[in-house]
Amino acid sequence: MSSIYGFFGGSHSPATSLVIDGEIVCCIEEERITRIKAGDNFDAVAELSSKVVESYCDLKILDSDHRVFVEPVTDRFANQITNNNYERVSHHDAHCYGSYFTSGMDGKVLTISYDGGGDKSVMKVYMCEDGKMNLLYSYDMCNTGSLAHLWAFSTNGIMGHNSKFEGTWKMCKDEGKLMGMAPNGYYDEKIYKFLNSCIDYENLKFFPSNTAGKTQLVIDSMYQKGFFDTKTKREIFSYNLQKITEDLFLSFLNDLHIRFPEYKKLCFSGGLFANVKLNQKINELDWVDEIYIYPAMGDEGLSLGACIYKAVQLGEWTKPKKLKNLYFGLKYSDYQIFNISKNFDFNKEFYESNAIAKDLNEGKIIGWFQDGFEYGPRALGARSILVRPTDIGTHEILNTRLKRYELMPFAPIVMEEYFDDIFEGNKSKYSAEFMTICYPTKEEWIEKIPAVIQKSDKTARPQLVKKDNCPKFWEILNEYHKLSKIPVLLNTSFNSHNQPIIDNPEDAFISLQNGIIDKLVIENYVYTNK
Amino acid sequence: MFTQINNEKIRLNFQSGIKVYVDGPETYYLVEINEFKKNNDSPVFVESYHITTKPGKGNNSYFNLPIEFYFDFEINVYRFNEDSGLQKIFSHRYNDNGKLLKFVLDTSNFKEAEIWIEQIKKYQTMHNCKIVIESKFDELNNSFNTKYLTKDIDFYKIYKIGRYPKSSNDWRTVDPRKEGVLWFGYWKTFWSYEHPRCWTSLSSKEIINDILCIE
Repeated sequence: MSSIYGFFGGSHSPATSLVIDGEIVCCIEEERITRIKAGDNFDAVAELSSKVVESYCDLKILDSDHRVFVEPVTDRFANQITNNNYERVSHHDAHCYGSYFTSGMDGKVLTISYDGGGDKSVMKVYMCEDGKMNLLYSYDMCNTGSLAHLWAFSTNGIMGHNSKFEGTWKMCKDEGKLMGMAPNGYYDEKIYKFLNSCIDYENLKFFPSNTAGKTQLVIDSMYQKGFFDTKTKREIFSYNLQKITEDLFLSFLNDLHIRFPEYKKLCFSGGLFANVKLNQKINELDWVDEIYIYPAMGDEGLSLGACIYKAVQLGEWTKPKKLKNLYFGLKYSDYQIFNISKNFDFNKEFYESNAIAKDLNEGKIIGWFQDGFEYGPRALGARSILVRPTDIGTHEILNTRLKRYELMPFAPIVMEEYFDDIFEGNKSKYSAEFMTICYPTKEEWIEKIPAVIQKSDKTARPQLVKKDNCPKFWEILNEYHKLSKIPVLLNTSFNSHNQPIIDNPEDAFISLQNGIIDKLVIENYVYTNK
Repeated sequence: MFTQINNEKIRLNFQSGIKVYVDGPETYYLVEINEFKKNNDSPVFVESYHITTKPGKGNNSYFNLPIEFYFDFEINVYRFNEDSGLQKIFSHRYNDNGKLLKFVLDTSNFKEAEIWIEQIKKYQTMHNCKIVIESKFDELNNSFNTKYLTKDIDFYKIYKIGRYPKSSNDWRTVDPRKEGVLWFGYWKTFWSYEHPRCWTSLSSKEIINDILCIE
């Protein structure tokens, strides 16, 4: 058995991961340490995260058994931290291995990665069964269209550019805003045609190539001609962007199904699958039994994918297994937290779940800081902000406090036991543990939990919370349920707009001090302002 | 070469790499270079550039792809059309058949120049083009037609043959930590081109064969 370090960096979303004896020990994204969002920090390498993981896990990179870098590799940095002793793994192999081997799926599975491009590919499709992966298709970047690029360059151009010709909204960071706006728009033949001129699909192939350049031309021209100068116009555009994405990708999947009808389980990874509405549509396909989206679906997930790839090669990770949670980041002891708290002047009391549930029921905004921070883009109960889901006005209060854009939807956490009561469709619940799929909300719940329901299409992006996997998180839900008869809370990431999700207790304390939250539950204590 | 299509003026220049100038009523144009690989009729994307014709909007009004060696490429120019979206307005495939080409030989070694001349003759046969040679050796220059050796002539393509290191002054060399970094607009670093190899260690014949793509 062995220790494996995995690294990714050099384009966007660098990260470092460590797997020992086939178990995930630590995964840290660079943005959590630099405090600069990945989309604002292109070309960074995993410089700080590698040092932090080394120190936190007390295992020098040079003392590990294997060091794996994901393509594209920044050679000089890789040489520097490994003494020129490292292996490379293909970008999309890291995506696909990370996805399939954390899916817990048995039987025949198709694993698909799709993004804006890594090394020379935009997309790979693997046929998988019993822990064996066989490459079916690999799509070369120079002759394949990319839906991820359609989104990246639409995001980059829709709000215009600054004096340095940088997008006001940024690719790899703000795509969620367009997805959030989409349900408020409607079909527009002309706009759909504009987007269709940048990318199309036929017979298992997306074309033409260079979606990036073509989209940039179309979007910048549309901006200049006033196609985006009102919120309504941007919503209409976003609707059509979402629609063409779903239309083309679902056509691809349906064509795959015609050729390989025995494959009804699907695993996905790559930036495209950050699109929870697309994932919903895939999940709703009649012939699909189950889908799984690798929770760190973007390039931030590649470092772990590289470790898994190597562990599989070594025979130390033989079958797909399920992740209990994603708390692979830094964890702080009560002693460390106590020392940091000395710099602030707070009241402190022991945590009791029923007392916090009462606060939530009264409308308080609670900062929730537990365990190691999450790996991937979602706050899933380690660095979360919790609020009751019952007030439509919560949107405005939270957006004001967190300085967020108004159309970014908030998501619910739901006790596993009540998931089917609240949401339509009961497929792919494992993926729902990581908040990667939207579900339609049942009619009788729409009025009860308005703060976590998308206003136009009445869907939500729930996190299913299991007692065994996230016991403390489940417990607070349960206590709130006892008081309110509602087994749901609003969960949003513990950060301000444009900031990465917080890492350390100090940032949590500052949020409390600045009045962003009303109370802070941090491990076993509750802090409030005096 | 200059072309006017409706309101757009497009100028191509292959004197040093590939330069494409675009001017017209639109603020933005897209220039795209695709390559036809051997035995494959479907071109593959190499590089593109977002042309800006109006000042103050970032970028430049021309595209320069500094690939000096021969490859079978096409240039496409696109604009935005308010009815259909992306509209291709111009396409040109590199074709030096019957065209006038200049080869500049950057060597002081007569024997090396002779080797290069032999290969240039092969290229001439393969491509059926007219050749002008510019070297330090009149004897070699005069072995081809010299009547075109004037400064004003518009050569379809100029090839510089010499021992040039692969180094470049692009931004990757500014910060060594970023060496090998992938970034939009720099795809060519990752393509499977055989050229240019590190010319310092190649023989005279290998150098010119690389540049002119002669096997």
